[in-house]
Amino acid sequence: MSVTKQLSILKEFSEYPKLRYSNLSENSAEDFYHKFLNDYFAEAFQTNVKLEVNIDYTAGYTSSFLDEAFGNLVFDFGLENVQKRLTIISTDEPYWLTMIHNETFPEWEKRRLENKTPKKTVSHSPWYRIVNNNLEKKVWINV
Amino acid sequence: MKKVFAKRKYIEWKASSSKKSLRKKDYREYKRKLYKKGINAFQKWENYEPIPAPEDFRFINNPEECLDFFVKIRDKKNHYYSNGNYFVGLELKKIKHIDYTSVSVLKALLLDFKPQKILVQGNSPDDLNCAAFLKISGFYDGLLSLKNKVINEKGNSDRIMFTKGAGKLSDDEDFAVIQTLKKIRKHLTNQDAHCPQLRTIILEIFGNSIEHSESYNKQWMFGVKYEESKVIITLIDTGKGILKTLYRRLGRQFTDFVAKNSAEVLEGAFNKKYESKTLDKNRNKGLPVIKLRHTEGYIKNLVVITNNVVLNFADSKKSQYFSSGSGFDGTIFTIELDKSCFKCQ
Repeated sequence: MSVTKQLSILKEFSEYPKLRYSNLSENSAEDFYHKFLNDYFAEAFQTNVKLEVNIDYTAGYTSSFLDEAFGNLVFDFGLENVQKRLTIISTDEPYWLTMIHNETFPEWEKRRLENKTPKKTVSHSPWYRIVNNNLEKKVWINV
Repeated sequence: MKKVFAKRKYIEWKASSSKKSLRKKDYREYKRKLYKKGINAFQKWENYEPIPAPEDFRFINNPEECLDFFVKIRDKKNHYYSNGNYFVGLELKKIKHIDYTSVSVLKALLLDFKPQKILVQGNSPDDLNCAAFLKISGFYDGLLSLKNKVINEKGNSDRIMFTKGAGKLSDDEDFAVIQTLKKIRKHLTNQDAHCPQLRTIILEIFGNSIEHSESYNKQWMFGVKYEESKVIITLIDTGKGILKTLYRRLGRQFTDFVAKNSAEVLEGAFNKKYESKTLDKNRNKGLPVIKLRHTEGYIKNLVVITNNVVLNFADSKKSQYFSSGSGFDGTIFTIELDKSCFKCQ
């Protein structure tokens, strides 16, 4: 799995990422996940390549933004798949890598296993989720 | 057919109609009294005495009296009703010492009154330095003078600046904050660049204010004071306060509230203690990040004031806990920055 698909938050999403939910701010983690991260990861999964997400060079993050964005990825694709196929680049602030790997990932995996549905604050078009090792696309959570 | 109003039926109709109108008037008066006495207990103008500010109006030196003053300002029993308007009167004459944090909190409270249509009336300190400080800060802008005229004094935004926001964090509000952070960096280091670590702290606090504080209209205020070699930032929301929010979310099952004093509980929230105990597990990462940034030196002299606790991260001896009353409903963060804070950014 040497080929890598790349996603830069600065280039693809925004220089000014803000808060967790779409009802709290514009450019939220909920927006980022549903407009970019879910699709990019599903494509990487389908084509059997790695996804490299670069979170550097923006104006700065909140812990809730990163937690919600990467946590939802674990919830929809499972921790094993995410750890196998996702690389996060954070040279500016290495602390975020520690938080995502040590706190967000295990917490959201636990949440997935307990089937505790994540909160959505606006309606989203269908998104990908792995169910019984198959990729399915639909609206999984209605607002 | 021409109506003859002198006829008996029209005379009776007119009498009944005027009675109805009288009844309506009485009812309105009755409702007004009920509103004043029963619901909000606003005072009558004739009995009103303005709320006196403490002589030492420095939050860091005299937090207990300052908090007491702020609590009184928000208490509706201390507001009065006159000519269809609700007012709060401030007696600022006797102030002899003042600091930026106190002015910021007072400003935030007064901004909170604006959408509630409560007018603020007050006088100026006799002490010339204090009066000048209030004037430079733009504190008087939008207040009522004793002659009932709205004051229009913007203050000196190069030295002291206040930004407020409410509801969903918009691009414009965020942009204003980012520009201010860049200005701070330029002021201290002469560099024109982003401050991602500092923005993280500001957004964590705004996020808490918008999502959890339950402040009126989800309001927050961001104040900056530029000094020669340092900058003081205040971030204020007038919601429930961290401790009350934590208590509401954790519930009575949580024995720490009984066993420990509020200062220890608040410190625990900054130490990830309650991260896994909240009802929503993926939460409470924000406060520990703020503490971490302080430990790493991105910010200095972090002081958090909420409910009945003053938590000083730079000097724990200055942390205080007031056992009487529920204290200040809301959260105040004060942060200091100097050149060294930007070395690693």
